[in-house]
Amino acid sequence: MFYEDIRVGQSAALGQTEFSREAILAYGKRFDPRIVAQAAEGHARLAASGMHVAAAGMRRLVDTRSALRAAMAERGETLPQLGVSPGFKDMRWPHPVHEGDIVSYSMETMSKRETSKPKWGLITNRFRGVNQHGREVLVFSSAVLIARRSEDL
Amino acid sequence: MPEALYFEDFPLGEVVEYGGVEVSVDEIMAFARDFDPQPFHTDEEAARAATGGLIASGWHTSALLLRMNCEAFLMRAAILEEAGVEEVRWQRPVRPGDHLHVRRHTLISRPREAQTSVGEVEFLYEVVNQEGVAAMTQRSVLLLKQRPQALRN
Repeated sequence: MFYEDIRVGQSAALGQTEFSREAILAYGKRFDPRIVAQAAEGHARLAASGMHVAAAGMRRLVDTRSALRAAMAERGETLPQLGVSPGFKDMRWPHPVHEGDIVSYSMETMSKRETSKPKWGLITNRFRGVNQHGREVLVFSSAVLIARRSEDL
Repeated sequence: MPEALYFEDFPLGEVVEYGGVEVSVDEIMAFARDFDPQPFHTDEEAARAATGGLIASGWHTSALLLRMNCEAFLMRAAILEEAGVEEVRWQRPVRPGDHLHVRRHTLISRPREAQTSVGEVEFLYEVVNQEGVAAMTQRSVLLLKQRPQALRN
């Protein structure tokens, strides 16, 4: 999708991630030793690191976008150049994610504006993760640069 | 067990530096394969054109900050609640071979008026590279226990 194709208020389901004990512990071993401590204390159900819950949502977004790009390529359309994200705001974890939980991620476009660079527009999205009981486990706002259609298309 | 850290251990205006991690190509690609498989994080060839070479996922840099924070103080802090992350900015790319450490500023440190045993602390973390440049900043809030009377002197 190019900047021009994105509408404010548009929302998209990004798919689901199941948090296994192994995945929670693997992230913990690499980045959050508090998870390893939980396991050592014999917790029956480990709680995932909040940053793990967010990074897993990024994976769902990338996979969703890759599928869209593959479909565009199939139709012979021009693919927009991928932009990087300058960051995010207001991340909250209203409920913990425990092993065995399944989180459904979604994203809603909150605003869009052109930037000083003619090639890129800035989109802000509201991300949400909801567990299998319908409880919100993650919410944040993020910005991303999205390529604009060039004049010569 | 090392001594616990309480609200009083994070005075307003304090600036401390800690941590130290070298970011390798393998780690950048391994993280990206799990959480952010975009070409500028996983494919050196594609990254050369897009971003002047391979760059780490911002979620990877965030995870490295988390680990350095855990090792420096989060494991020992008397945390009642991690309120969330107010803002993250991925300001400069992190590239293979970069050395990162943390510079932490205490922006806010105030006792909770309603709960005398609780204090709120807001930190600004800078993830600083070997050139002394902040590749990333994060602002986040912790609710901490105040030091129990018995331990004050």
